[in-house]
Amino acid sequence: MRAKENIPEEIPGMSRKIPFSVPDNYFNEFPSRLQEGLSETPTVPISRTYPVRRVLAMAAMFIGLVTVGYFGLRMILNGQDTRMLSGDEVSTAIEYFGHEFDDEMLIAAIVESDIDIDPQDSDYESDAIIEYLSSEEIDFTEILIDY
Amino acid sequence: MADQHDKELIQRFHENRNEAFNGIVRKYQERLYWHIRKMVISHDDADDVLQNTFIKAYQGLEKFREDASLFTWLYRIATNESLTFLKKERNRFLYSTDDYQQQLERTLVSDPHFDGDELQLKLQKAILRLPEKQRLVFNLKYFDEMKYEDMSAILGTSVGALKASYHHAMKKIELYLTED
Repeated sequence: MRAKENIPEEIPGMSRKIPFSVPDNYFNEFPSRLQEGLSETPTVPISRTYPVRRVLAMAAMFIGLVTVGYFGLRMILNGQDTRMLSGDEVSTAIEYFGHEFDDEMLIAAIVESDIDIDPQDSDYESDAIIEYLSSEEIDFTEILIDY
Repeated sequence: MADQHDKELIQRFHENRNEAFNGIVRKYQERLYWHIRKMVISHDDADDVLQNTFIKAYQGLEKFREDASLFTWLYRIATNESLTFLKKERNRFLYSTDDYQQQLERTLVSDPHFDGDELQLKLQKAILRLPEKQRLVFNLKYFDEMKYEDMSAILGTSVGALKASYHHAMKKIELYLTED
């Protein structure tokens, strides 16, 4: 914990200047280009007739399963390390996974999937969603690198 | 004062959408652009993502509940749009994480709108080696000098986790910069 408090604020000899530039007049012209795009884009709000809360609840369950699986995999890969994982490590990992599951990304992923969703069907069963979420391959390597 | 101005803009949005939104765009476009650009590297991609960000904001502003500041809300949309863009690009070309990192590096090296020196190029390459969430944290802290509390509100991650992430990012970057 002490090491984390003494985080160096700067990299010696390194400027904080962002080393990128933009084309001339970019920011002057951007608002009017955007307005043209907005007048062409239909302003239909994102439909919320999907069973969003149910999907998010299942995503939360999925996060829990992945987290348990991750720590199991980590203990297997680090077979020599018999140290108990601290509460901080567990909560930090959950926060990282939780960040991945943005509700709009989740809805977009379902829309792009093969699930045949009828937004008008209020009796739509969750089985198809569970099957889709369960079939997602989780790249544990990416998760390990990320953590 | 900044919050009061944002409240006025949101109020005016309900009365005159286009004029008020134009004010919001002019106020936040540069900050959001640079936040996005540091993640996606290419100017053309940053332009696309910035447009998508403001389109999402325009569509969602009517129902914006003001439980977060406008600044936080916009940054959150920009962050999610950037991460979505990166994920789609990876999936579109079936890149592995390492391959996509190398692709971004090639984009960086060939970018006509990169005007840094050799050291800054090396730093940007080092940042690209970080996992995406760490890149976000590093960029927000190092270049934007954002407070951890504000970062926490945008990313939905605890201050402690953010400090840990920045600490690890710094270590990795220092190691890379001292190589060779």
